[in-house]
Amino acid sequence: MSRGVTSTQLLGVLQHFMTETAARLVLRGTLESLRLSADALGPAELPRVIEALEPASRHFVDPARRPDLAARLRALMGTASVPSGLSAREPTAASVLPMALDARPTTYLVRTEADASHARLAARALCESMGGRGYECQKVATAVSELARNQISYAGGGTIQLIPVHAPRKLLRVRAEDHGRGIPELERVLSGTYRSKTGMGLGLLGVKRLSDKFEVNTGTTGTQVEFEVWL
Amino acid sequence: MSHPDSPHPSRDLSRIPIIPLWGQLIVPLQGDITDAQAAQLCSDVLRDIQRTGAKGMVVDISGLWLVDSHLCAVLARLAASARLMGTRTVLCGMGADVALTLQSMGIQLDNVETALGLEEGLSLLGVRAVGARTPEAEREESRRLADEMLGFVAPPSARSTASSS
Repeated sequence: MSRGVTSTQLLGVLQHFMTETAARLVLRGTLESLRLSADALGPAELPRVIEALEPASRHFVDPARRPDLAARLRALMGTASVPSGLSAREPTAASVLPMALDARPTTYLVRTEADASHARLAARALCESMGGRGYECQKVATAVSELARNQISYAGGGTIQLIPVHAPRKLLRVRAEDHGRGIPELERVLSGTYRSKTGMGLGLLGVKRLSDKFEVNTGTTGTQVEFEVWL
Repeated sequence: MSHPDSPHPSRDLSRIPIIPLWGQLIVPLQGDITDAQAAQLCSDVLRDIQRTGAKGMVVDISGLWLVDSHLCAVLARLAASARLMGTRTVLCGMGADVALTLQSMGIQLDNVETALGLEEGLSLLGVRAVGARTPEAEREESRRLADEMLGFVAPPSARSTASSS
């Protein structure tokens, strides 16, 4: 039973990057050329398979995402080499592990550009570990980037808290707080009639449009923005 | 491009390369672009346009994992300034997730032409590849690969070995 697990995991990773049909094709083609069968695939063969998957998936994966795919496939090697005393539960154990580590809210201090960069990378990583798809992770990371940028340029810095929620529905909640002077003309900003001098005036409105739930409180003592992206 | 007069040699490492190619400029962006890098890029590009008289510029963003409204504003401003100098700007290499995200945010890069990849970007600027593989040929190739994997067509090499066994 645990033997078929490895190919299911490979398929799972591939499906993040291409359609299911394409993923099955790529995996089948790769296994066939290595003369392996999907249900007799063990951790021992995994390095070989992963190496062969790279050229095989080339035509289906956008060049920019290839390093990501390679990294995820290599990550499988790490989880599969765990002693297989875990029996058939292996795939869930592998995906629960990072989730358990990240289940608590994390707060990031945002003062500099480097902090903002760190926060959005963390947001994407968290979203991915929760099983978010590419677009969802991209939405979260972009929204975090917008908020962090606003905090730096208008409030002299702030904090961004990432809160993973698993029940009743899987979502990522982000709370951004600062102690700046608030957002004047919030209505105009959110209605899209405002144009900022530097950007496109779309930062906060962009976050609102990217999120499934959005709330902003602003006053002369600070601003709190909270949004959710459902996964 | 070397800048012997630069007072901070270390800054050159963070400088975004601008590649002159067949009368065009190619600007590959990758990783995280800082505000300082973006500002430097804008002035570098405009100076290079003036120096080389490039008629077009392709900005390749396939190496960026995140494009937010600020970076879009920078790109739009760069394209508008280049436009004033008579240079067309083509943005290429945008990933699907990035495109969806920008579209959701309501960001339109109105004054910037876009293309799928670098090849399409260059051909939009009038660069014609002679004897190179065209996008159609590439697509044909990947279709054939898919057929091979499905088993509709045996790969040429496999066919010969199979018949000999």
